[in-house]
Amino acid sequence: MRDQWGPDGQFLFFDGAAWGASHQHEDKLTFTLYAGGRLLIGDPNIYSYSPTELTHYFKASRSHNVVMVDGRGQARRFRPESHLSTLGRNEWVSQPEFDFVSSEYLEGFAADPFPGRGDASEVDMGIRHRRAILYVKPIGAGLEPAQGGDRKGSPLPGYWILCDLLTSQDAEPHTLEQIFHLAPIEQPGAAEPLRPGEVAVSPATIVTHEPGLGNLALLPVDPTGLDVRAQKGETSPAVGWYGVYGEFPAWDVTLQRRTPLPARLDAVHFPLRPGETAYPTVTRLRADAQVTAFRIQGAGVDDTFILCEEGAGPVTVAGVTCAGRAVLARRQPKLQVLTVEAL
Amino acid sequence: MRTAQARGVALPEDFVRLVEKAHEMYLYAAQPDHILPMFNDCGTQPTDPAPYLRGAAQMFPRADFLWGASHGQPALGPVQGKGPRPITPRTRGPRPATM
Repeated sequence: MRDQWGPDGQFLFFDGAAWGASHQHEDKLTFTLYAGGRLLIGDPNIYSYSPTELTHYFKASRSHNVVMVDGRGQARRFRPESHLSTLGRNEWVSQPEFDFVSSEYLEGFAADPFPGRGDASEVDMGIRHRRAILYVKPIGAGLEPAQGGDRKGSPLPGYWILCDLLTSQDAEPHTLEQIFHLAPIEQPGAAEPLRPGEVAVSPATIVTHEPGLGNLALLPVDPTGLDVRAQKGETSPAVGWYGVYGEFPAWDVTLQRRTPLPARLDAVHFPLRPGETAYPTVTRLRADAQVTAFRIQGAGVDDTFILCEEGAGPVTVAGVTCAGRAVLARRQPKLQVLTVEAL
Repeated sequence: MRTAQARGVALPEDFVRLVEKAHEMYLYAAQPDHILPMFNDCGTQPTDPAPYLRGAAQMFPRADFLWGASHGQPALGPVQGKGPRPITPRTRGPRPATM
């Protein structure tokens, strides 16, 4: 996903592919996000193949931007078919005003403690994870300058809406951990090439604070009952590391909730251009197994978003109707409806 | 491909197309700073795909490969999605090839 080519662009890279034949990580549905001139959400990568706790961490779900369930991560390593294929449905739509992607993780969850890796009998195939991301591009993106396409004149950057739906075959409560890895700050020429950066964390907002650089406001749609924590450089178990140039502490942000399934973990990822500090608020409108809907409001933005699962039928929330996969009704600077048709 | 070309060996068209498509990945996956996203075991250093795209541009005369190989020169970026649509042109320049 991107709004333009070049250094001022916004960009999100999403992984909905098979596990692969080698060098695999338990990371389906992960993504990285770049805006404001730097990487904001990154993938910790891996630094060495030594049989250490950190190497194990870098391969496991804990080290990726995914969802863990009851402390268990993805478990494709037990499924030989995953080398060349994956389960679930992928969707991709790219339009001048938005990009949309959706994929599913249906290949089971299992504990993955270091150094043991368990066995296939421990894989719980009953938990399913579906992730959809809508990129709302900056107003004017994709247009010629004569049509208002100069993004520097846009009142707002683009932003991303991330929707996670977790379902289960049981009625028991589960502990969901939605993990985001804040990209560390590069320091060319310094003794330490990466530093973790500054972040302020609360259930309603997770905001990075780097003066003079681009930043990110991560806005959970349902902050009530949400346990949010930021960890870096922890061991036994390993949490909060980055494996580029070496092994360095970096922030892992975890949004945790205990709830019966189906449950939704939705969040707005709002990039802040250098010097900007204002970000919108998000208000929940509807959440169930078929539909998620919320409103994003702030200076220059007043958007209503609805995402429908297959079979939901036409759905109307707060005066906005979604007859396909998703819709975003934009009220500023003028009314505009962005529609993701059912695929 | 260069080796085969130098020796006058014709390669199957589907293989040639696959090589071209593989280099499209370097172009489309690059971040705005022209670095590839670091997923899985991506090595210990960030990877700049420009050298690969320079090689690709020798085999496939495409303006978008040249654009990626030169970190954004000329000013028109690759075409994304359907149709020949320039992305955020800052100055007028040649339209890149359609993919």
